[in-house]
Amino acid sequence: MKGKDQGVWIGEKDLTNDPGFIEISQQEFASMPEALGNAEAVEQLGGTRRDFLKMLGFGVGAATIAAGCDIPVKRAIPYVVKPDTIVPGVASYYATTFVEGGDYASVLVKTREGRPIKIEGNDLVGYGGTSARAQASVLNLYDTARFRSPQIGKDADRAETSWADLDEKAMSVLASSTSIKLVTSSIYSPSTTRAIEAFKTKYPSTQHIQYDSVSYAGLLDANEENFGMRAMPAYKFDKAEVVVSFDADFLGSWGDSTKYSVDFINNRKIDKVDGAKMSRLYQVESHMSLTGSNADNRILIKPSEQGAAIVTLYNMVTGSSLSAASLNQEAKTALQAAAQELKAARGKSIVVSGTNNKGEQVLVNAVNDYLGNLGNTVDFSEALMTRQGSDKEISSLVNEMNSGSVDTVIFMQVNPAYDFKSNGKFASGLEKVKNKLSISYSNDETTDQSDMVAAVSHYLESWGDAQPVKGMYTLMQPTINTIFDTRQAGETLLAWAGVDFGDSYMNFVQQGWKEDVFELQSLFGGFQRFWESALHDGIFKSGKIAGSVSFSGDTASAAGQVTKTVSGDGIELKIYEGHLGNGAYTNNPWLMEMPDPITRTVWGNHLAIPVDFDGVSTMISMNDLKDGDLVDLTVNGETITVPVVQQFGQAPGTAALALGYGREVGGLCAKGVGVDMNKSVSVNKLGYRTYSVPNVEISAKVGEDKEFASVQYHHTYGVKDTDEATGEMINADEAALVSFSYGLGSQGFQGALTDRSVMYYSSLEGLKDSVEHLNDKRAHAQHLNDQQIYGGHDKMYKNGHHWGMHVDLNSCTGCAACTVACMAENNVPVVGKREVSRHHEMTWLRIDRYYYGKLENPNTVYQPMMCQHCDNAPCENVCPVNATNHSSEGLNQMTYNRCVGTRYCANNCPYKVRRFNWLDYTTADIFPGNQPTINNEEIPFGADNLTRMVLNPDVTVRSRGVIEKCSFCVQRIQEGKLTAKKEERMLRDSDVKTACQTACPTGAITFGDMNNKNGNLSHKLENPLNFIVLEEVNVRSSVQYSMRVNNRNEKLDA
Amino acid sequence: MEVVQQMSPLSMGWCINCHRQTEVNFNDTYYSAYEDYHKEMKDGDRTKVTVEDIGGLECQKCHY
Amino acid sequence: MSAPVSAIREPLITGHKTYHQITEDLVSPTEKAPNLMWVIAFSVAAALATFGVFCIAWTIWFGIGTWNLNRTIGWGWDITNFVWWIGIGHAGTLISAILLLFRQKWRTGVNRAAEAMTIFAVLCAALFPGIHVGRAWVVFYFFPYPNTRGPLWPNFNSPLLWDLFAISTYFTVSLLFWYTGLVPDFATVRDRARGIRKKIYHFLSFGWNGSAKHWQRWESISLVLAGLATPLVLSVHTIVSFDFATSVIPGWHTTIFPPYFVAGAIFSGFAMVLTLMLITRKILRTRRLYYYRAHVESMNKVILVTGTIVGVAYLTELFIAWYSGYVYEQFAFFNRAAGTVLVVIFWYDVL
Repeated sequence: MKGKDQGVWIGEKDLTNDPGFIEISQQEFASMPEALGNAEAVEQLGGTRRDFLKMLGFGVGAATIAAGCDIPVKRAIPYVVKPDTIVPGVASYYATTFVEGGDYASVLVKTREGRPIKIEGNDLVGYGGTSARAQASVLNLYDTARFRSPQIGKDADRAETSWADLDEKAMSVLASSTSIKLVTSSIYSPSTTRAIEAFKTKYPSTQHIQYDSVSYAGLLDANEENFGMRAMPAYKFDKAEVVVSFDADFLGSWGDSTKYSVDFINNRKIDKVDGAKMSRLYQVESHMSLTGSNADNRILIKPSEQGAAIVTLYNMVTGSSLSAASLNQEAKTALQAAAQELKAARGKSIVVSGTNNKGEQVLVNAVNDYLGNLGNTVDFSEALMTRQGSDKEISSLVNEMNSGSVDTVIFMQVNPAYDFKSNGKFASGLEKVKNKLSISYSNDETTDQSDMVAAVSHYLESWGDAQPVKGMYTLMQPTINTIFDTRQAGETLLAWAGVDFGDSYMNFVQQGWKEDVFELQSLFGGFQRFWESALHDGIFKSGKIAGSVSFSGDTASAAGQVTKTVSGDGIELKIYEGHLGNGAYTNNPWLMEMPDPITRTVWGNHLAIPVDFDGVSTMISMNDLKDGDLVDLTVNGETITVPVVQQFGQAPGTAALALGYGREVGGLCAKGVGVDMNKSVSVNKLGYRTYSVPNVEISAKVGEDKEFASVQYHHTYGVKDTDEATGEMINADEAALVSFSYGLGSQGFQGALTDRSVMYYSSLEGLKDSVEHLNDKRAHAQHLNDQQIYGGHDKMYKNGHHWGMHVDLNSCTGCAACTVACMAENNVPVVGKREVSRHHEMTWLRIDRYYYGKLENPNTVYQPMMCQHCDNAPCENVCPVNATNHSSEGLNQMTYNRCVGTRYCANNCPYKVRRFNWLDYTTADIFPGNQPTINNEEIPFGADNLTRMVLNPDVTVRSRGVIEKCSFCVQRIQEGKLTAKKEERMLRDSDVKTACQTACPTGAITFGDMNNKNGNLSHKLENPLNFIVLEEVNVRSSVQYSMRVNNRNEKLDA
Repeated sequence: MEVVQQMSPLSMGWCINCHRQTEVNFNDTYYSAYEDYHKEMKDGDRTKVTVEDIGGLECQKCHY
Repeated sequence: MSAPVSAIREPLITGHKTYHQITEDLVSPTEKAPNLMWVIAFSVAAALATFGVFCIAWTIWFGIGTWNLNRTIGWGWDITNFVWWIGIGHAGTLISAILLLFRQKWRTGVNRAAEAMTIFAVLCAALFPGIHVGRAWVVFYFFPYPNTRGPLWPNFNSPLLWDLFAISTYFTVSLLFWYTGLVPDFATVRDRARGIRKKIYHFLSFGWNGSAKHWQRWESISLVLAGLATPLVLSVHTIVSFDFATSVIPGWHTTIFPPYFVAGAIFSGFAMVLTLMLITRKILRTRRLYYYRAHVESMNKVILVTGTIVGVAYLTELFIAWYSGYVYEQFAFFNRAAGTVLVVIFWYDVL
């Protein structure tokens, strides 16, 4: 009786520890003791020796069990007074805005029991879906490295403090400063702008400097000069028939890439053969970017040829003859074709560039103007405001800091010590600044140097607003109370400015809306109703800006400012922004573990080098390097060691390396992961950051990355090159990989790589023939499959629901938002680089990337691959314990608690989509002694209570030794069915949407009930381009893919 | 004081067994998706639809 | 009693031994204290076994991730070793059972040791499926026992479950067969023993009194068990081969596996029996008189035959892989023979 320990008592005597009571309570049986020794008494009691032994035995046994097995007490405390909006087990959704520097997304946040666990897109913005970064942002809220309170002091002296204390010290510092610099990223939030204004009113010596971690200054300055607007225009890719992009990764990470993806793909969907149309994209670049991989034609240039290429196109389109530096002949020919097409599509084309050279951007603007695109496809009435940074201003700051004339610097959610190193001048300048204040979320390279840190709340804990696009206002609202003692940036500024905004920052935001936004609408008469409606929707569109812009600029002088081609054989290095951004997202394990869409590597940046075919049987690359080899890369005299990957489509004589890695100060994913390329980003004479370096040196192999982690080793689906012996075009990869069967006669290609129905692709012109070919192959496979001796279960599936999925390969850009969404929704563990290198990756959904076409300049296709829920699954009948079986609705079910872990199912899966928990990745076991770490951290990732708050309570967290795989989001299916049952209506498409489906901005993934003839899925299943992967194996998959069609200008390949 | 007793075994078999016997509210419009069962009910080939008939014994209906 | 000599047949034992001498030769080593060599050998074995226990504990504590599998198959040494252990056990059964059915009297020299090898081999084999699973503490899910989960039965379609039945059947029958064969021998030892040893052997010998009736029953039981065990030699390893043959993986999904595995099992098993016997011959010198050349030569003949069958099977696999034109199967074999550094293991196996 341990009543007192558990806070439970039976009666008054228990509470007062009455000795008599205690004695009685410790007796097993109430009235036995003395009688047992007395045989007569025992007989009177009716007991015998046998009975006694039974009772004794039972007593001993019961006592042993009760005493021996101490199950830990778990407290589940129900609500005494239930909050209005929280129903345990039912999610609440809040509309808010994801803002991280220049990235924004309108999102709906799914919260459970008061904590956010998943991000969905807010389709009121015009499209659903989000980017991978937005999906991963929810994990950042639970970052164990975040500041939990304001901090004072540096290094060893840094200690937690209170807001009152920090404010006092900060205000005294500010009051006594003569020169205050407030450094922020691009601010497009009206409330933050007002807060900064209030701050500047209080401290008139303040200069507000905005800069972006990856610079858009060249573009912005050019637009200001040419159009009078320091903003990016809206690019209407859905209205463009021809797009020429000079190194602008607009589908990946450039500008408003999510919206660009939606629009661009809208113009490229094919669901019929006759009259099929799509746009054409020419990508002019050196490295394979995400956009380049989705392009129809890639025009390969060296980075320094960028200027020449733009001038050449300008000349070809407008007929001018500005002098251009040298450009390789193939590029010239290709640009000629592009120019013709642009001229034929006036007003329906886009020329765009990601360069940071102002002269080049002026010329691009001039071309768009000439083509009549302004106001049509390049539209400033819906200008994008998310990038406003100025390289000149931040460079001046660095100079001023170095001259010692800066008193106080406030870094507000920026990290220039990492992303604006400016050849070491930032670090040296910072040392000379007297007072360094940081308003930041977690410790980083800049905050590490600061004397005072005002800890910032996460956007999911914050009030705010944004005007990312002119004429569209979005609101930000908290989805959880501040977890720690943090404040929003705006709150801190107002506190230091001595402005009182009442009990919540919401008042301040509201005030701004009352003054400036309310008048822009006429639907609501009263502000409160307008506010509530806007808060509910998350978005308010006030309408386009009236008026038009016209171009005015000096193209001749612009042509003089463009990048000059570097001659010679030196290797040129391109430094680019990949999916990880430039520092803001480095500390996110989900994004680190998400394979790079192009290189398919994880946890690090890898030097991309060109690959070629030797004409016989080997793939060769510079210095004979293979994937995972380490090389010494010397850039501007500094040498770093990096691993390489062979990159198809990398321009010869060039290499590329991504930004965003090699952090020195940060959380879990910072140290030791990748190399920092910001050191090599220089500021050119005109004051703009330059992201390419000529004449770098790449050594021969100096070692091997023993833990080279890539999730895909087979890269191609038949790339063609010339056979040395015969001079014919052959499958170069098949020759390289399948060379063992030769020498026995003919060199016939067996179609090893291309005969399997893994992937079908077509050109737009050859679509009819390709579809006929597809139909032939499918008919052949289906004929074979029909010979099976077992009857199917079609009758059963037609009754009720039959879940299926359609993946449109033409819509998939490879952005991998679906991969991260799946990890978020299904509690998929993160395993770290070492485990991925041992082939133990855990992501349920992988996006295979295949190159096809010409080897030097291939096309790419992305194929999201998840469990195909085969009706004739090879995995189901080999499980000895029946842990995986088929449901009557077509789902291949995985029952985690039954799985013993023999892994036969994983062996037998032809798609290799099953994942095994080789170690205690989820840290879900009872004891903590066997948990692996992902990057040598002290407490294994996911083992602490803060990180575990992101787990979805609807999905089992798997223990080690258990197989898991895509479940078609069965938790959402069950929830959707229940909703329909309760509402006494048929199940609709909108009831059940898988996580990957809702995350995808372009609508590549459609999930639904095949039995619903009016549903979205049935419509997609009628597409003549559909095929089933590995149909000939007769596994009867429930997922159909539709052929990839590209609009390649094949004349350029001759 | 109230004494709490466990009235049912609460084992998986107990759940499964009830699914075998309990009928669903087949008049709910949601179930019009089960066309075959509706036809059988009309033809007299079937008198009731239990939870088992709509897949209630399948593992992932509960274990997800 | 004089030594038994037959007019028509070669003697089974050389050296003109009497029955008493035979008993003395064979039983006295068990009655003496072990010598230093034995103690050293046993300590080494015990140390290795302890290390083995430690490794198993490490695996179960951390998980199968410590084994570096999944390139690209989730099985590795665990299952290949399991197959080998089961395989070599078959030789023991073959010597005891099949040679009995074929009335090969010379089997009596080696059958007890061979059958003992089988028992321990099967025990070792049973260990591997048990520890190679991700959750060793719930392996009992394999067993079809009445339960309160619906009741929930295992999946009888699965080759791994057939393994369970095959191996447990094989173990049971082998154990019974071994034990039955040993009963007269336990009785012999019992008759010479004293004290606690006598009590133990008395219990083990089951009341054997050497009478004709007992011998007659013994012969019948042995025949029945031999009859049961013989098909097991073929069926058990066939079922083990189904673990691979019924999958869809190129290189595994071939119909040659059942006979190939069985032939390989006999091949390896006889080699193992010979290894043990030759070492025993060396150490217990008197044994030379009981297993002499003829035994070894007979066993060698079996090894040659089965080795040849295995060799033919390898060649057949290679031929069919090439002839089929199925590139994935071709790659599987070519890679094994000439792919990476690990080919060393392949060639070591072959040669």
